[in-house]
Amino acid sequence: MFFAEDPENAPALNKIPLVRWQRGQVYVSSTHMLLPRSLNRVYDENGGEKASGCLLHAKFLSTFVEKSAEELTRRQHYADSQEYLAYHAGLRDDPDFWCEQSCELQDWRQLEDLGLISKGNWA
Amino acid sequence: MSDAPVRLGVVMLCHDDLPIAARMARVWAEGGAAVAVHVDAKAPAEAVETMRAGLADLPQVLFSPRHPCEWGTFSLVRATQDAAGLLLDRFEDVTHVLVVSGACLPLRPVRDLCAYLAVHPGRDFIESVTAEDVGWTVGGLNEERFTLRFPFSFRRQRKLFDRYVALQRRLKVRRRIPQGLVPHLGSQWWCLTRATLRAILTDPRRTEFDRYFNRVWIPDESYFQTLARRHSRNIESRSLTLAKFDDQGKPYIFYDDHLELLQQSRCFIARKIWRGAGRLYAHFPQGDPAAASVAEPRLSQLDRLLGQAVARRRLGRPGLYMQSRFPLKDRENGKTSAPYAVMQGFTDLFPGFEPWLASRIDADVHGHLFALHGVEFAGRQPIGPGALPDSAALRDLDQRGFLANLVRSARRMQVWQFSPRDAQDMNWFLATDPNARIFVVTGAWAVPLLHSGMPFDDIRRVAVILQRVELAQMEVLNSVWLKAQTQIWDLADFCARPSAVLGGILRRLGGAPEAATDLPPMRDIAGMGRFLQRLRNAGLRPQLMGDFPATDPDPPAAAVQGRTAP
Repeated sequence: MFFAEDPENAPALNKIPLVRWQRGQVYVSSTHMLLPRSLNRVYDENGGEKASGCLLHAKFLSTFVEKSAEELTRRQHYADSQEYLAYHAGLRDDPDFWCEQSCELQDWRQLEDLGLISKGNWA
Repeated sequence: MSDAPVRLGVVMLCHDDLPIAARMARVWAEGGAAVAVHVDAKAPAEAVETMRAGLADLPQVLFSPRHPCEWGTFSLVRATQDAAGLLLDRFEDVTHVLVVSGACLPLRPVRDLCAYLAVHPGRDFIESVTAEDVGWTVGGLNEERFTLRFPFSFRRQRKLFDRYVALQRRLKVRRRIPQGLVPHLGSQWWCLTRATLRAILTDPRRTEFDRYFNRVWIPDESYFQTLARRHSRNIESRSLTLAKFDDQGKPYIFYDDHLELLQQSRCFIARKIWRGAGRLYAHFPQGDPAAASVAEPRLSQLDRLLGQAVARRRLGRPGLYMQSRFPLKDRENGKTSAPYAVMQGFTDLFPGFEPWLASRIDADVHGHLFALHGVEFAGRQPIGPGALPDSAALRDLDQRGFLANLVRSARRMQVWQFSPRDAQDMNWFLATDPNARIFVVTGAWAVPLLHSGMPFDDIRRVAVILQRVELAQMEVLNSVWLKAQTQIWDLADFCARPSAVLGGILRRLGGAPEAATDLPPMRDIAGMGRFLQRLRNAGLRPQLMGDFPATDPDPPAAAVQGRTAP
């Protein structure tokens, strides 16, 4: 839909919003990236699963076209608001987000089955 | 059933969270037990005062002399000894002593436990396993707990602790275990009979044993467990307290949503309970008010659930790559989640191969998923299973993720076409994945070239590239690291008996082999021998097609007659 041919510049879908804060730590790019670097390793590299969750981000609401126009005039976003430029352009043709593979959100267990979140060590 | 009345004595070891501990002490006391509370000497004085005042109306609650307690040291044993001695001295009728912590929650009423103990008269419930057989301790030190000295704190002086252990190992220092003791380990949450406990506390050699255990590592998991072996005549080696540990050796903590699970477990006591688990604290202990139940604890469901959690944390779900699971190469524990098949060379011979195969097996049969120009999903849909787009750029950003997500999110088996014209980056991944079924007709890429009508010079150049690519791929598929199931035919071999080969493939993919008798229209391979000879004459050495006689002005049947099928 957006950034299809330019995935490297697509917006980040990961967030690390919960951090036990200490001096010397800093968010580099919103809550997407932290320093020191090791704080971003919220995943297991040996095959196991750590706990992770999903944030329901209601971004593309009916008011979004208006909002993206506003964001473009404010120019407060990174990389010259590239992201909002793309949204603004993409949304002008009134696109349909639904596809054959879409499914209705049921509960967190469904999200877990789909592999979007994990209970990690929790029983 | 024995008629001897059981009076329970409870030793309660408290460190922090005294309000909850006080509440639990009241539960035990009002249930009819005598309680000796030991509060860590490091706990703040006013909190202890509040606790004492709150329990002042209960004469059956005593406070034992306070020791400063540190995890892994003898202080915990000392605290337990004192509190247990106090109970035995002050309450003549106490028949059993149970050790709990302030964070233990009785799931069933005290009278249930008393009735249960009455059914097993004279039995000591204490997990006690010889140090040699213990496999559960995390961190290694099993027997060395008993033969090395541990003067440093594991938690506060970790470096000194580790170095001192290493030094003793190097110097081969070994402590002598007191004569007559066989080291045993087990949970510190035990329930001993008065006779056994009294015998342990009044052992004539107690000073010697205490001095020895004073330098043993984590003695609260070995002091009573070892000495019970010396004094008890009837040991039931299990704990009445439910205490589970995770993969890292940390105790599992129970929350409100474990309520039903704990209820069904029918355990007497559970630990640890989160301090904020209000529903658990309000609900338990829970039992039939009319009659005490002596039902056995039933742990299978709980064990299964906790086992799943441990497995999830350690092994994860095969083929899942996500936010909190991103395994390094070859640490995937399952590169993909389900079997899938890769067909190479078949579409070059049979232009209608995809629909032909799709109607004969229960699978999504895609085109060339790794084609350079884009992803060819079945029916050339722009969006495939798992809402994966057909964009080559998106796929190539993470081909491993693309492949694994496709296999994981699709409901049916995934089958796709492959050729040396496609992106080759996943060859090693496919070859080392046991879920991959790879069927290859080598050299089949020459068939479209034969019919291409391109200038011969271009054909030669393309053939050089495709052959080099396919040879490199064959090297991968013939490596000693191969985990995929592969079947490879050369072009000549396949053309000699296409029905038999396709029948075998259908069978492997869960279809009916007879369905292969009705072959899809096949491209003509007449002239292949001559074509290959022309390539040879142009300086190329075709290696992957098998034997095609250099002179075949005849129909293809003649070309393959001389071959014998292996």
